[in-house]
Amino acid sequence: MSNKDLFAKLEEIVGSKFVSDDKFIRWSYSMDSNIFDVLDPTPPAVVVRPCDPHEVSKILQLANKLKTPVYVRGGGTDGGGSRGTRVKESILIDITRLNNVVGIDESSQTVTALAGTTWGRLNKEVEEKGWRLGYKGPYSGYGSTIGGSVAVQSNGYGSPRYGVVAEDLTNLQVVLPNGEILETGSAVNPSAKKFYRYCIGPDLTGIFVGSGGCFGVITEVTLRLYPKAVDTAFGAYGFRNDNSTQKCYYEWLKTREADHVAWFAEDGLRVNSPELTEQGYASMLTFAVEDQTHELVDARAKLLRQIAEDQGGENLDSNKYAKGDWDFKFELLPRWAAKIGQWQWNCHMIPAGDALMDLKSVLNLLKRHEAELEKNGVTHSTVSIAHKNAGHVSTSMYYDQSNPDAVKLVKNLCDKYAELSVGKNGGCNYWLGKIWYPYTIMRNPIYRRFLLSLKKAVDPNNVLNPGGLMLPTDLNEEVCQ
Amino acid sequence: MTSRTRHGRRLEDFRREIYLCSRCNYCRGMVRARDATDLVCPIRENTGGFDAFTARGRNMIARGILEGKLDPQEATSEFVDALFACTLCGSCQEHCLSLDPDTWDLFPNNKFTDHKIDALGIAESLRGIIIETGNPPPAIRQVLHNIQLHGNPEGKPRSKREEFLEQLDFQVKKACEGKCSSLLYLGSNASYNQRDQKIVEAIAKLLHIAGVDFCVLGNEEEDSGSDPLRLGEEGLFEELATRNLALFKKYGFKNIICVSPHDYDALINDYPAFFENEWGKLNIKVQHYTEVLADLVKHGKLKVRKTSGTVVYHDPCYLGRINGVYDAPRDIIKATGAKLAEMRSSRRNSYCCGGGGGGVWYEALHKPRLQNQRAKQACDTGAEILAVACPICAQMLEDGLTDSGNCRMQVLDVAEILLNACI
Repeated sequence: MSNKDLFAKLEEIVGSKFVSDDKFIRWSYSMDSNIFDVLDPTPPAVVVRPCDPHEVSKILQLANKLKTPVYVRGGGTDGGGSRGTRVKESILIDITRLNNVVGIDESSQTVTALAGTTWGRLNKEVEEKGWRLGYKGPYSGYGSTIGGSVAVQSNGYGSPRYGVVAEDLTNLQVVLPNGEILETGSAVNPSAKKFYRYCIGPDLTGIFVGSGGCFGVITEVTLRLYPKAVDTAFGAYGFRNDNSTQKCYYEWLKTREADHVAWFAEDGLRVNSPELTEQGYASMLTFAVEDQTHELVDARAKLLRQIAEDQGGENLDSNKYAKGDWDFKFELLPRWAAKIGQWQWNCHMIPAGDALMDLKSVLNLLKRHEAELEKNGVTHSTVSIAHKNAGHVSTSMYYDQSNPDAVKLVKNLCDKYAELSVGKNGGCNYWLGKIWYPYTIMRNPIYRRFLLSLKKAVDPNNVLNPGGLMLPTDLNEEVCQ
Repeated sequence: MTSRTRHGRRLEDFRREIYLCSRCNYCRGMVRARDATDLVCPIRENTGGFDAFTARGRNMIARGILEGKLDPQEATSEFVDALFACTLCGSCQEHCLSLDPDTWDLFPNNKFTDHKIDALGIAESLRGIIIETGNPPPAIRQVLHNIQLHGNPEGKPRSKREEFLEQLDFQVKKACEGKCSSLLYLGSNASYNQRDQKIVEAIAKLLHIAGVDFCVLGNEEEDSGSDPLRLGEEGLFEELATRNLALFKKYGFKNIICVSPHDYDALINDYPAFFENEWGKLNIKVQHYTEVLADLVKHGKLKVRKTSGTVVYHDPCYLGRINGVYDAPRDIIKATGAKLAEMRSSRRNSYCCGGGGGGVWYEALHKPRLQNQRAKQACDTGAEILAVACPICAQMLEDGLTDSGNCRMQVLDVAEILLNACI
């Protein structure tokens, strides 16, 4: 079937307004927020914007019939490169017309929203109804969608207390590659609400979390809710000694009482608060706490402050250093990028007690390349955002994408960084991407074979995100030891 | 120093900004509780909504052109439609978080011009490329042709520009008839459109009552060039602006009072940027008429009796968001004793009427008709009067109200409201 025929069929499904094979329109979809796309921007053959799961289903049925690859895009803010082999002759589903908060179910304390809804919208609508989300979304939450976050497994605001996006999930609606529409949690029972995840049988929700859309298109997400916060408290502490920082960080996480914790390491402090570096601080820890009563907020903040003081933390202006990060959540990363240039993240998880070791090693790596970085105008900032029992260590590299040498250097350093932090230090990626797979999936053939079996069973024509999860584009390829 | 690259709109000049775009998607889909941002791009919401309709998508396309991967000569009608569907309302630029580090301390109160990526400038330069290829939409080509040939977008005779002024019950002085310090710059829409002429009439009467020494240029007046510039025709803008500058110099005006926020924007931003030396020597103070009237009320030059009723005010994009004039029109409404209602999307989040950036003449493929939506938002407040401060907004929102069912709201310019309340 020619592209023209494919276009005509898609037009029948979504209407002419929402499908385009125009060269310029397609080019506007050639790049997400990651360095792989910077290196190789590739537009799809057709962009299509379905409005509901049924249209998604029809598109997948068509793609299966034609054996045409399908990629799905939410906010297009993927920083890790979860998209597989880029194929020009592909359909790109822009999922952002599935943009609606379907409803809040008070009895089950859950909210259900279509997958193309942004975190910004979901937070706003939930709070207007007197509730709040535990995990509130990634740092790009005004642009990224909840479906995309589930598919690439995002971490961010609220993670120290509530974990990553997966941990509050109670149900997903997923369109399978053959077009069937699957519920993964309690909604498997047609009489049940979407309130519980671990039921009926095995946890199918988990298969789609962090799947990169390889096994199905997520069309609806249900998350747990918590009572609306009435109060917040913040803390910011400067440390002159890295070991004390590590101890405080570890103890803060152990309490599970902070809603947000950030560790501004050496370069992170220098970039974000240079005056503190000048004052001789080695690093800074900040926390944010929110809760449903003033008493709870006070008690939790008091506990965290006591820990910081016991570890020698010096009380800094929390309004200046901690409050803004929380009050203007989702607004910091683009601002940082604007200060210096496009960013490339290198986020990974590390056990809470190993954060300092990991931070030191990645900082040493950066120091070894400092001359090259400086020459190419690349600035970096390392911060550890906490997640329950782990630190999410992240070095953002800010670079000018119009400078090919800077692009090459950043890509090269990303590879080295992943090799060190994930390959050697025992970190693991929490979100998806080609940056990390060589040190995780590709090093474990048993895990990879299992993924491949699953893919063959669910998507035998390999239409959904072919090459995603670094699976072979030919599903019959042997995965050897 | 504005961040808008007002002069020399070649795409190459925007290279740094285009590459600065982090593709965060905020110009496409931001919903933000803290400042009631419900929607950023009204065009995306009301068309096919592909990325090419948004600032992010335009940045990607611009990048493709700069890197030689897209050839503007091959620009398709679909892309051209997306490009000219944009009303240049500036909401994407307002919500872009690429802020100048020097102004971080002001966050979140940054001005429009503090945003580092000039989304409007990039759109205008892309339009310029399309104009150069000779393939703008026919309606846009016609508008530019009319301005070039007749000095106004509708192609009406130059000799009729001042005609409506003769119907006023007092004589409006023309600059050629004698010296005056303040020019009331009418602009093309207000000179020819019957609805907008009533706005000029109200402004002129109010200035007359307050004893302001003002005059108009009459048939000598040239289009400000704002529309050609927004549509990508920089050469035509320069021609028109040069002629206007010569007139301003010839008559030695010290003040210019603009009726249209679009002309106001051109005079305070584009003229100084394009003609820095000439403009600087003229030393002219430019104000929008709402600023002048608010001042006259404040200083007791206009006596106002208290009226009743509820008025909701619509912020024109080029007066409010882009040039920061929010309070003067509201002060005037409040001075009349009317209750001032606000739509949820107001001030920096104001929802475009659909008329800017060529929207008043160009109806995109899927007809966004933003005027209907904005009219409905106004009706939902329950106010009796929808106040505007822009001739284009007046036209668009009156049109929008015709489709608003049982809503009995009346569109009045702030000047008309004030005149009705004047003693």
